[in-house]
Amino acid sequence: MAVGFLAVPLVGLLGRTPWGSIGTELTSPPVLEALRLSLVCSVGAVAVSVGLGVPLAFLLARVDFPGRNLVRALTTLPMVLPPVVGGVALLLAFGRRGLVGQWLDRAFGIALPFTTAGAILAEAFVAMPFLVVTVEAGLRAMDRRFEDAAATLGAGRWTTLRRVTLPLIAPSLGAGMALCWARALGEFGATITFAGNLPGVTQTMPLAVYLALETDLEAAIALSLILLAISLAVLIALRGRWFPSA
Amino acid sequence: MSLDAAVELRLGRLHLEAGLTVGTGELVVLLGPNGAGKTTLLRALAGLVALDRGRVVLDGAVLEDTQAGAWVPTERRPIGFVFQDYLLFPHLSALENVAFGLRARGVGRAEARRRAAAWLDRVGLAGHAGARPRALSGGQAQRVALARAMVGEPRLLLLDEPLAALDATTRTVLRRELRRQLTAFDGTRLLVTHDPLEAMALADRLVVLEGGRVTQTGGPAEVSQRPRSRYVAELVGVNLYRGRADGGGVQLAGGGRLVAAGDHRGEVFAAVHPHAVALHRRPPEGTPRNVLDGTADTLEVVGDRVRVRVAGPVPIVAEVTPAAAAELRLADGGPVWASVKATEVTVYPA
Repeated sequence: MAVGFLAVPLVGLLGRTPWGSIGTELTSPPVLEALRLSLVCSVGAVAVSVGLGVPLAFLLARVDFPGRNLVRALTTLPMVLPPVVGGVALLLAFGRRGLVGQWLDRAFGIALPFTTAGAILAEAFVAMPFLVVTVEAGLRAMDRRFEDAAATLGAGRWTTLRRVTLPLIAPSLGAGMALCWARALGEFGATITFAGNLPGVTQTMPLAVYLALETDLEAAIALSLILLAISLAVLIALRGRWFPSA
Repeated sequence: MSLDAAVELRLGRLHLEAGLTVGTGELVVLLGPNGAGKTTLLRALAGLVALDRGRVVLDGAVLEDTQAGAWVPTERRPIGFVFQDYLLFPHLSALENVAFGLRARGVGRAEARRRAAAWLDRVGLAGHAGARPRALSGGQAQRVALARAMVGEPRLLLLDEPLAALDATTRTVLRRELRRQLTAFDGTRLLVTHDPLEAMALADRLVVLEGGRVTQTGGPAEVSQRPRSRYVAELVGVNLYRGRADGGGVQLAGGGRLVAAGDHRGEVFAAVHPHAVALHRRPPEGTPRNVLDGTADTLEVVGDRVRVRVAGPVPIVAEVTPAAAAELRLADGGPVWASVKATEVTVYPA
């Protein structure tokens, strides 16, 4: 019954797909625009997550500092937080009158809400925890004596990081990036709350699907199919990690 | 020119407090039971574990001195380290593993690869340069690890149980080869093992480490003939007693007495080799000698001899021929008398 419950909606989606006109739907300008924007935003969110999340993962895995558990809890909070709440929080922090946004606006004339950068920020906020958690687990599972071996061979910290540590956690980093990317791609709540729903600027695929549902069902189905295909691809790519026996 | 170290540190339940000197060109084998602190001592010399107190001086250069606040980080110590499970970088080929240290120390890419290839050739692995560690056998991995540690021409070579991860057949072959490679190396060498055979085969000098402390040091022959701890005695298969000598014999600490030749006085060890112990089913008569009564306990075949453990007031292990063991029906147990000539009891100061 559970399997049916999970499978029936997918079957429904595939059943209603207008296979005859799917080609034209997928290449229609609004769909392509949403697709392009989704790629830009999700890749940007992954870049932000890697830039901020990898150092954070190192901090959490390697440095024993007071309040570490608190920081870890804070890091994983966006995983369980309703994305809409995340969007509201981002608005209060980075909005034009927000805690940081106010200052950004005054000092640099930067306003994040309702911009593509804002959409990237919203997606990164929601998706980064997946990367941090995965990379931290990879760092903890790694045999640190490889770093000792590198040191006995004359490698300093940076050489060791670049030539030993990062290559050894590459599978975790890859998995974390894939998860992070998939999550960013599907992000809806925080994005629409913080960045709005402007076609070509912040209207990513999930937003476009939602909007199209009321006006152009076939476009909505086409976009949903793309997202479904991407999800399946990520699942297949990471199957060895989650189902090692399979 | 040598290694001169005084090391004190606490790590979990281990309290390591050991002094160690190794001459240039000398191969010292650090021997001890599991948990004695052998690996920790090596790691401390490499700078991978900080000392609580002490100093490490190599070829006159201070690597660490807690009193003076001196500390040279691992990557700047002129050392080579062979780890117990080798720790070859799994994402690099055999050649890249060997070249890693040269590259890290600033040698150019082409030159590093050339020198690494020469070393792989030297350890007989020229054909495996491109292989990843997981594709190598245990013996091959050991050779790559040795080449990786030696290619940078370190002044101090540290080897942590380099043969322990291998099966018995490979170990015999590689022990000979390791000996050859180590002989060709002109720096200071320190090797850790818990295998007495390996220790005897490789060592110029043995240092026995037990419970974080050095309990004995000396040449292989001296250590095996005059063990100074139960651990070493059992390792080399010698009966060891502790007691007080009074000229004609030794009053044993655990009760009983051994008659020994020579004039010894004070706290002593008395060692008796098992092959010097004869067993009888009746109390033996005749020349003045030591007679210990007990019961035949466990039998164990070692090579072409049978080792018999005699349980009694003074426990002793005897080595007899299988024929004698059968004739005396030792497998049945029961009372036996062990006799040892006074001249077969080696007495030396404790």
